[in-house]
Amino acid sequence: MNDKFLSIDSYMQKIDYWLPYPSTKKELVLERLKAEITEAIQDTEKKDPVQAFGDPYQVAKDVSSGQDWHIQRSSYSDRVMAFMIDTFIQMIGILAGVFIWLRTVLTTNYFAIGSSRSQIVIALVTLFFFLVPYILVWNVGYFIFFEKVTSKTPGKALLGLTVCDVSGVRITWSQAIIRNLTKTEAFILLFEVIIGIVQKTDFQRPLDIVANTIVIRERFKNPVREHSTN
Amino acid sequence: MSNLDRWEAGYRKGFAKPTILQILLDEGESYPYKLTKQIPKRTQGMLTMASSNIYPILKELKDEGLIRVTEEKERKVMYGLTKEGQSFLTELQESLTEFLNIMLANFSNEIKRMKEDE
Repeated sequence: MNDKFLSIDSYMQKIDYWLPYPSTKKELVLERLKAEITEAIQDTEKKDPVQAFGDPYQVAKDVSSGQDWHIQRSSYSDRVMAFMIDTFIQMIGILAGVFIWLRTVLTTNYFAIGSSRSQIVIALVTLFFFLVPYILVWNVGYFIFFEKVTSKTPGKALLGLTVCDVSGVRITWSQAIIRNLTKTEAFILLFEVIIGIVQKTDFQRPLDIVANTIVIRERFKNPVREHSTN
Repeated sequence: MSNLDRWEAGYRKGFAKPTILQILLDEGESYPYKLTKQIPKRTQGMLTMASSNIYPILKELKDEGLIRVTEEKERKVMYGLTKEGQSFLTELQESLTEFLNIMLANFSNEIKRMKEDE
């Protein structure tokens, strides 16, 4: 294997990374794309696929826009179900945090003082420096982390939903942060969903519109049309 | 990018779809990468397209029923005009010719007037 083909493979991996779809869905399309990139490299005599064919992120966007992969939006009901599953998982995490905090406070005799007053102080200090930040990070960080790294939270994965950019590619860190800003408070989130329904924004919450993101169904409820190839 | 470059990019962009349809009519069929090479050749470099930019355009044309996948050759998807696409292109050619003739006449009159004033 020579260097040129190695670089095509790593270029293809980058394009593949930006497409948050099952490999069965994109395999054929990527094979065809690889054939075109190979031809472009031979044609232009440029060894670097980026020079011959373009930036992998932009190519992934164009490839995705040329497909029907991201046309079926998820309904709010599916998303609410996914949110409830995620909230349940988060509650388990929070309870685990509270348990660790209580265990630390109740069983540790700090500085061998042992008085009940010093234990209260220590409980408050650890509450402020451990439990509160833990809950905040866990609450928001959960959605940001999972949606950026795997394009879906565990709840969304169970219901076959994926978060992506409106062009159909994987979301960036900033998009993940923006779209999850209201996840700390269920009331604000509900208000946002109501705005989305009233404004008829095609299942986009206001923060989805700001972040340029959508939530799609991985498996189509009703096959829309045969997938195009390019 | 100068102001003129931006304006040029704006109006040239509108000719991408008609050019693709015209190439497919003349060639019979073609595949995405080949089309991106044919476009600048056919337009004397006035219209260029990054290799992958053609995929969304082909999808739009396919969704409109103007082109279709004809076959696959060595992992390359070949596209050709549909009957609807052929008759649409005839109508489009007439419409574009009329429009461009009027616009050109308008601009050439204006240029003539400016030269006379000088």
